[in-house]
Amino acid sequence: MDSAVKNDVKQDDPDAVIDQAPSYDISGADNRAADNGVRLNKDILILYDTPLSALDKGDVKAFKAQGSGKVPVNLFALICARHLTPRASIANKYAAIINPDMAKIVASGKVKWTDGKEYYAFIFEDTLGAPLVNRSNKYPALGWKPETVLTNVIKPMIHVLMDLRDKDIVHGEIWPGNIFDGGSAAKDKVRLGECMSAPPSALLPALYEPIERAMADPVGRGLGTIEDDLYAFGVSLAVILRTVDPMEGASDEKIIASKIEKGTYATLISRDRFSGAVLELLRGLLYDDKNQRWGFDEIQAWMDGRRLSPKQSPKRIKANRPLEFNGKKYIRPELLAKDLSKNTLEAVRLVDNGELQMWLDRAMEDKSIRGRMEPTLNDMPSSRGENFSKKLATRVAIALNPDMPIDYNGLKFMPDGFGKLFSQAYVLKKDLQPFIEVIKGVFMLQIIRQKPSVDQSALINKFDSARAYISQTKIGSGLERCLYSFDKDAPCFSHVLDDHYVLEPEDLVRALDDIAKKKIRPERLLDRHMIAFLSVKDRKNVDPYIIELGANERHKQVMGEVRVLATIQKRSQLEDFPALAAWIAERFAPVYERFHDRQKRESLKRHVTKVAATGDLTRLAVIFEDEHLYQNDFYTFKQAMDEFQSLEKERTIIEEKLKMKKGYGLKSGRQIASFIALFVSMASILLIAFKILSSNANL
Amino acid sequence: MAKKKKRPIKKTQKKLSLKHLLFFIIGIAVLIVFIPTTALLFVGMIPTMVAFVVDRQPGRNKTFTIGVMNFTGCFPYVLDVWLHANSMDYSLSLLAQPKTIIVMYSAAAVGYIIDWGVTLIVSAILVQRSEMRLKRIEKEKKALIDRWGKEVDGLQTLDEKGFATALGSQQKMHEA
Repeated sequence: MDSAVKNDVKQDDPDAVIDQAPSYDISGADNRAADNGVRLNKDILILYDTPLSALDKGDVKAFKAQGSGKVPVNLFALICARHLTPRASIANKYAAIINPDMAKIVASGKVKWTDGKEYYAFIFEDTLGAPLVNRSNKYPALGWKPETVLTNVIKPMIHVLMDLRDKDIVHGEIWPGNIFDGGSAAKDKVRLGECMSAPPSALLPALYEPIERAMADPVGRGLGTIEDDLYAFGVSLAVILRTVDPMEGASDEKIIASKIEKGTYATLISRDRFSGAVLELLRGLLYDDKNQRWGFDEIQAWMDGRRLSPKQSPKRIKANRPLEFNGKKYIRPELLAKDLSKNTLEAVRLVDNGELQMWLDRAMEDKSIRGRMEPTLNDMPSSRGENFSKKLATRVAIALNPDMPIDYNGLKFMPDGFGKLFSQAYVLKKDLQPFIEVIKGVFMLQIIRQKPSVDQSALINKFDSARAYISQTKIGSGLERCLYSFDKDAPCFSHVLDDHYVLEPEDLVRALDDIAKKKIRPERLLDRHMIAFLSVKDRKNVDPYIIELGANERHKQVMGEVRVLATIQKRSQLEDFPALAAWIAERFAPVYERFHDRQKRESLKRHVTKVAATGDLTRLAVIFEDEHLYQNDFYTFKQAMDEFQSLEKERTIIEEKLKMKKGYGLKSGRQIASFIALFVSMASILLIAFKILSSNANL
Repeated sequence: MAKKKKRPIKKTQKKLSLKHLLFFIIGIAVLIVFIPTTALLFVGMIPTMVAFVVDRQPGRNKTFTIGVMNFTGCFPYVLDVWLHANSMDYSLSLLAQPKTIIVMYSAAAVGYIIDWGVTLIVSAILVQRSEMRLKRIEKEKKALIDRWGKEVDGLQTLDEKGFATALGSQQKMHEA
């Protein structure tokens, strides 16, 4: 039977949560050969030989799946890519939404794939049909009729977005490649696809993101907001409605520049003319200024038939004369900010020779930029260390446009997207040096302080802590700790767990039990990654043992390891792990060596072997908790030492005596001789006296 | 204080010299009364007297051994003297017989032999026992090391828990 299942599926219960059964069967059997698929759990079989390319999402691959028992039969699975951290933590909230116009999740969990490795999978009911556009067609022009769009797309999708809002879920992947026709040729059952198989917005084309978010690396965009979802929805509507793509063939960079220059609506729509309600909705959703952009109140009012007067977008800041930079002329500070990283040395020159300041003072009416630039330039360190130009360019860019992503040394990320980008780079074995510079650099804190739209104190604390961790080499800290602190959804990246997908401490214990059954096992039970991972996920239960885990003495490390795993097993009431317990027992050699008495060691070894067979790690850990065990051993050891010393003394005395062999025993010998002589003498005297006296008597 | 110390010494010295004097007087009186026996023993116990002079070991066990055997050799003749005339003439006539001297001195020789032989045997036994004990000691030490490890010999620098340390700064366990 399956190992512990956290929740049961209750199809009709509005508060149902999904089945998050782990993928591994407690019996350890791999049923692939029998079923032509891999099992997520006893009811769900993923058919690895039936891919569904229409449902693929880049590196996230779709496969047909079959349900049985209470689970619907027609399913599909999305197998997540290891370098894209899925949003497993929101699966329960997502499953609680009962709306037929969105992908219905059935289960999620780990599955052992054909390459022998575990991946995270999401299972959905296969009711989506085909996407409105092929995923490769990122910027379509579908030319649907407004009436059709109003009925088939806008109304159902608005309700879906409201439901997502109610559950505090930011979707992050709203675009026609993730909107489906519901299997209807008339496209009257439009459904929104899922949003959990990758980091938020990681799979969303740049066109559908607001200007600033589009500038970031897709994986580094961060969570985003419901307003960003509404923007994406607005762009989706625009591309569904339009017949012509005015930016056809343009790069993402050109599209972003056009949005900055002309605004999103003008970028998306050129020759097409819309009117009435649809136009109002499009305008409202496509405001580049998020403060102006329509929210659900405005949408609700619009749906109720109330017409709101369109707001004029505030004009973007524009200089009255250009600034030349890197061979181009700039009048918009956002565009300059976007391009500063292309030539950081030139950026330093602009600052050093005062050109930038002069441009801001004289060519720009907006004082807010000057207000931000002044402290930025004043804060600059007097000594120009390594990467000074890159740091300067980054800070100046943020001062010019605080809403843009942080653009440093090839990295482009929103502050809350740093973690996912970091994780991806680690898994793909990219250069981590820029990430380390970001973490170590105090300039990050200064940048965050300039961003009004973020939770500054939380981010500053996070980066501050990370800076402390990364400079420490002790176990539980270092780069590994930073990885998991920044990306709390990340699985454990230890190479020991390459074949496993470990999301929770309980998964780690089970994975180690699995590894324990193999012939080749790592030297350490818990390596730096695992300990850092546990420190973040399960701080309360792991931190008390950090010192032991990081100790130089092997016996302390071993005891720390078993105590941590025992704590997890007990706390989560996990099943027994005989294989893992046996592996731990084999590693106890340094612990036995803490006892002087070899007989005691053997007896402990036998006891440990017996307890290990039960698989109860707590009982195993408790064996060595009794302080009396050590005290008694020490006391008897001292006695043994005393005994040894007295034997040694005796030996010395005897050897000294034996050196004088000639005279050895002389005194004793003579004493005995005296006694013998006395005895003989007395006997002789008595005999002689008797003889003489009796012969005299006879006479 | 000095006066107090002196007083007991003076008293014991006085006591000792009286006792000794008493014994001496009694001894002389006995010797004179039993002069035939004395003369016999004087000649017969010459080996013992020689042994007394030669034997410097504390306790003079050799002298005792020879002495008792020597006396054993002299006893029949002493008894003969007592049973017969108890006269000086009889003693001297006994001493004039070679057989008497041979018996007396042979008995003393037996004493020498007993002393030599027993000492040899006892010494050999003790040496063997000691050598066996040494072997047992080595065995016991080995058993201790086997059970408790090399640290039990106390020759290494140990930490406070009794385990060998590479650093030399900690106290030795058996000194603690």
